[in-house]
Amino acid sequence: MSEAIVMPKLGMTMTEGTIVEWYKEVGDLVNEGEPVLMISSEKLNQDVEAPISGILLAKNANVDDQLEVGAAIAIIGEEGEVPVTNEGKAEQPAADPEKVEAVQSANLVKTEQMKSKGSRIFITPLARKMVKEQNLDKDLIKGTGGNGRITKRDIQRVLASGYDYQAASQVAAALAVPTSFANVESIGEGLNPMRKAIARNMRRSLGQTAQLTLHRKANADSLLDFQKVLRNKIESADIDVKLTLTVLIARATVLALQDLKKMNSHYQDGQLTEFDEVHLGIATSLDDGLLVPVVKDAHQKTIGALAKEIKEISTKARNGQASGDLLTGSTFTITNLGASGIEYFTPILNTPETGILGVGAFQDELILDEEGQVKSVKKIPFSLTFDHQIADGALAAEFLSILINYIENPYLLVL
Amino acid sequence: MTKREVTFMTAITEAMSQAMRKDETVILIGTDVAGGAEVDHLVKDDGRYDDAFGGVFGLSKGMVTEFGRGRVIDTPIAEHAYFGAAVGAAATGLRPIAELMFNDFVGFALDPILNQAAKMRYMFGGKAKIPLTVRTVHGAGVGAAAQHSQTLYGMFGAIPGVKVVVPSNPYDAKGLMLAAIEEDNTVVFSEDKTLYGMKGEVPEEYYTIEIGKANVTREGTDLTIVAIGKMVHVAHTVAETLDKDGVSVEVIDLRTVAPWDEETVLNSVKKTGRLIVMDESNPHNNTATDIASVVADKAFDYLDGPIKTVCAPNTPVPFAYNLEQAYIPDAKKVLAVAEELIADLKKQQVMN
Repeated sequence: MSEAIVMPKLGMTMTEGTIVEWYKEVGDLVNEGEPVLMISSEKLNQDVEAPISGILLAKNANVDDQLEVGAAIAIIGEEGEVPVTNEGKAEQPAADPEKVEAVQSANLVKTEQMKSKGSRIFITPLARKMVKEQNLDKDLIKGTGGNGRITKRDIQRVLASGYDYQAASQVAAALAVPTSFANVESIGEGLNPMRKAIARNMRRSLGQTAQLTLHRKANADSLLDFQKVLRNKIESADIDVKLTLTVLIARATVLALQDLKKMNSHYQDGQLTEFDEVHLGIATSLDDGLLVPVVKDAHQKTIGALAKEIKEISTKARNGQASGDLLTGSTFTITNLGASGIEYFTPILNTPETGILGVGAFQDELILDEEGQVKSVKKIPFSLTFDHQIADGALAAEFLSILINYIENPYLLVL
Repeated sequence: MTKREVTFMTAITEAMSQAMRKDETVILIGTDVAGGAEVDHLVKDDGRYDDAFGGVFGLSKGMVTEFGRGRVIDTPIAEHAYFGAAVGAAATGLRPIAELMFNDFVGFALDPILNQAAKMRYMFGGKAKIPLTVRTVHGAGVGAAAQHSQTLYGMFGAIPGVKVVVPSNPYDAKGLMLAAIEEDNTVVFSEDKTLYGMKGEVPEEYYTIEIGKANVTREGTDLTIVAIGKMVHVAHTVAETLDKDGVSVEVIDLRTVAPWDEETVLNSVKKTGRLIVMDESNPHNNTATDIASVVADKAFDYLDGPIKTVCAPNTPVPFAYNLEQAYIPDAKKVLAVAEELIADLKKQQVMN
């Protein structure tokens, strides 16, 4: 009985993979668990192993071919067995056109059903009467009652603090933007898989969000003192932790995100989700590209644990050892160009996240202290890009204020 | 003055006795209401009937001794016959209290109630009045199985010309019983057998409670629960539970099932916008569905959620203890139903 080697799904967002290298030729004997080929996807290379022992009967793809997740890449079976490549089950996941069509039309119907369900607004008789009396538009009100009904409370909330949704004309205008990014398939064409993934992510981010960046400096003197004190303690305790400023800024960011959860959110498929937990993406540059490994559950980690994990994941990312899970699931991202001497920049959102924090290089500045004397201080510049669909400038500014409060009062970081 | 507490059962006995003392046209008739008068071993040497057991629940015990066999009348087990006699007595000047031992036996007694008592005043152009009180017993919870546990006051309530009262506590039981006896039309007085032992404050003196008026037993602003008989106590448990979630519940003890108090119920729903009706009857064509339909019509623009009813399931009353307990509407069922109505209120609470 032959069995197919299928394109694995390495991360939540992976849809297709590229063949990088074949280790085996047709006719070769392979053992279960032995690497047969290498694939690459998004930003990862990974070996694909033989699911059973046997003879490699057929290859369905050549190097640089792209296959969908679940598609049969190769067939392993007994010697002399006729590979069932073209009409057999092995091909089905990728190439049964009827099936693919059926699935697609099923999806289409589902989407349409959801749409038609979404268009029916449930509203209680009392709320309906109030809508009429107050001359409101019920289409723009979110129902919080049972079965999503709009109730009296919802009307009272809208009267007090405005509509929950934008008017249809505005939505249409917003929706019109991405359609101008026609032919999305062609984005990143001709680039290597990592660059292609980066290209797609960046274009998607700019196409689907309304990005705006706020800049602000924080006085870093207290933070540097705090770092020095902690480092001395760590050295005298002989603990193997490298306490970088990135770690302290990461900690401050986690605390600020917990104070203002709206910035710790995803906006995807028409759904806004705020998270209690913080999974912090740390943008890490490679020789030819960029990865964002993720510190999972960063809100539960002490400064020491954060330091260890940030070091560990960035090392893994640089050495190409990052697994799919390590690269997905972040709720907010930090990117640091301080080492390159950049002061301010405009980071691009790691969609579907609502915010990304850019950290710049220290700046020496002269300020007037409380006695009116000129004094030299170190300042650290921050660039916060946020999705203006979800957050307004005031909220983003508030987030920066909270963050800077932690930076300038670093003993709060150990709480 | 110290509070005088008596049981639900005693309150009814006391009401009947006081009515019989006050008005000699009041009589009590039914199967075993005297309960063994003139049975040799139950009669004292001096001829008193003290040991006669006074009805299947002992509710009228002692009454035959005080009022004699002429006014406390034992009948054969022949409901059609003695209800016919009671209706005739009512039409010709007496104020009979006729006892239907369990409301489940209504089939045998129905024609005199449905076609005679309920129709005479109307068909005789108001020249006859039928001041008949039908005492009967309803309710599950004592392991009496499917033929002795039903809740059928809603059936009587569907008959024009019949009033139906269902007391929930000893005070109401006495006041409503005296009002029923005074009433010139036929009144069905339906007692929940599980409440007989319930104690409560009851004044010794004669008093009546107006038939057709509901009683707001707890004031609230967010959700109205209308309840009948023993369900009133369940409604209060629910109200206390929801109070902890910040939801303010108004409880209405309906007291009179027919004609039920539209004014009180509608005013409450107009205030709260939400309504749950509790009724131990089977779920269709009952008092709860009737209230729900009238409120949906007359208070439509005030409703901030669907009207919910919490009733027994559409089955006979089971005999097995666990099944019988599952059959009777309880606080858990009401809270589950309430969830949909108060979803937004609870969220509001979190936001505050």
